[in-house]
Amino acid sequence: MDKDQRIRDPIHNLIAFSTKRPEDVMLWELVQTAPVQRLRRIKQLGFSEFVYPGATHTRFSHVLGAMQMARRMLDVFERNQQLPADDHPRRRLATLAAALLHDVGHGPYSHVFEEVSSKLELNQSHEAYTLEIIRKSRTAEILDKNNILDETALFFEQESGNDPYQTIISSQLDCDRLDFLMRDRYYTGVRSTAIDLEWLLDSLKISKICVDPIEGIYEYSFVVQKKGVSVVEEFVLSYMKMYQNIYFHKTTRGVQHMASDIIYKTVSEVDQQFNSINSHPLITFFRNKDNQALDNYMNLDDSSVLSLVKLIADANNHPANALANRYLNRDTYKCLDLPSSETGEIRREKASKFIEALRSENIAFFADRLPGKAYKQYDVMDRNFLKNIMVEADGEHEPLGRVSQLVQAIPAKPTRIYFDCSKDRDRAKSIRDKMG
Amino acid sequence: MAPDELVLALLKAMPHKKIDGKKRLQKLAYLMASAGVDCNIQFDLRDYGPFSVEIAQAADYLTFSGLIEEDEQQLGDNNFFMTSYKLIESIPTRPELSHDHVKALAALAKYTTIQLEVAATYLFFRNRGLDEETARQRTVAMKPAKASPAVLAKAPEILGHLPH
Repeated sequence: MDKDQRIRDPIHNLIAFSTKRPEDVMLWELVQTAPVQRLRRIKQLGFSEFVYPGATHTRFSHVLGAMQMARRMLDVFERNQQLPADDHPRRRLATLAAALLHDVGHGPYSHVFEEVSSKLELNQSHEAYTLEIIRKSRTAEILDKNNILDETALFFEQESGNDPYQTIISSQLDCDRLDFLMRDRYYTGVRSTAIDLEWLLDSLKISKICVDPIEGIYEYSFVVQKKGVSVVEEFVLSYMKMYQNIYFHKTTRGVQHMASDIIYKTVSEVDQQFNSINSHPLITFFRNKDNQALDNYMNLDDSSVLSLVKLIADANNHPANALANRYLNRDTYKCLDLPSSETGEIRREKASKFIEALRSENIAFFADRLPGKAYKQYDVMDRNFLKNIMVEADGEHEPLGRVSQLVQAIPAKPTRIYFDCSKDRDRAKSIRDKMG
Repeated sequence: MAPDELVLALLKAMPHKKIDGKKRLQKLAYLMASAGVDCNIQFDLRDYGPFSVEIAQAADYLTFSGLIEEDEQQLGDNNFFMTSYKLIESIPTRPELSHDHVKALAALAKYTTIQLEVAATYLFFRNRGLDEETARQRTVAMKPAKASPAVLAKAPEILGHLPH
């Protein structure tokens, strides 16, 4: 880096790299590497643009944002003397590198990519690819040159909670979550539920929490001081709203299912007449274990998915041709939300009867199963995840779910069923409505 | 067994037909799958040890279908919130686990979830072909806070309850 660099960012305003700060020089060098630059070609929110046309921001902007968020957090914790003095400069550097690199292993349209991989019993997750990239590619040389290769990899090899720096990279209030909540809100245009970031960061402490009193096991965790309870409630509300309106939006999920079906169908049904499709990099990657090495994986990005869908849409006799054309014209699967407010026997009986009725009427459907747990956007589907944010008052720790009435009222996740077309969905709705 | 069937069979075999905690459900599923229960379920190593997306999805789907009950509890000194799963009494479950597997589950009931987590992680490495010492080292490297000598010492005891 021969001169100072600045990146304008809608969330953090200015992300600066100074030649006078060695950590910035290293981070800038990492930004220029192929794995990080590849993230310009992978959208942060995948198919959400089908619902929110502005949601086209990239994972590249997000990882820069996560790095900047980590900087802000480190500055606050340093100021409040929350971090140990031993080896701090190196630990700080490794933390910033980890924040910048945390998403380098993502595939195109990550959720769909991993869903198809899972159906095909391919074992490598995006976290495993991230670790492989950190350990093997050009990033490894840069990290090694700065004596932080092992320290950086440890963030991804080790369960979090073992040291205070890990809370910044992986916890309920980590730099990743804080950036994506703010960034995704901005780009989708959602106006409600802003987060008062400065107040939130200043209200956090890093403490050791007992997770097993029998064995005496403690883990480092963020703890919210009592003065910060209201701002953490805002964070929880924001997370919930983003999950309901964006991450788990019914149309976005419908598009994800459709894309997954197109790719899976194409991979699993080999037809020799479709040469261009059979030789497409995404298809050869999935079909042939010999093609699943890191280099080939790194060649895949969002354009790989779109180009494949276009090829299929143009191949009239292809088994997935109709689906591909529906995808391109946003003719998605249709969704029916089922009420989650009923409890106990009533819900159970209704759910069983409803499924039975759909089957007897030969209405094809599938339930929207959870995406892979590795996606932080979906963590909030587990209500306890946010309820277990610890609050400190008078030296004692209690979960936020006990302290906050607002958080106690976190609604249950919706249950959804998808149908191929609106006619089937309407028939199902009619059956459900008649059941009362 | 499909994932849904395994979750139902596990719950049926448990004392009170109940499992406290999603983590515990995952670890018990992994231990049973490793102990010869006939199922083709993929487990990966995630934050809390061996984890199956299929088992997580199955638990959710069974809850939605009304075949199991999901409840919230607070446990431990810190009153952590956790999800417990309970089998609905009237639900028939087929297939069922063998007598030996049911006996193993009864024996595992006395161990904490963290003890099961560490044992399952160690077993995951062993199942991947690592020798005992390397599997132990990898478990400690991954879970330095949880895989204390005392907890790790329980792993052979826990795995010894599994049918071979």
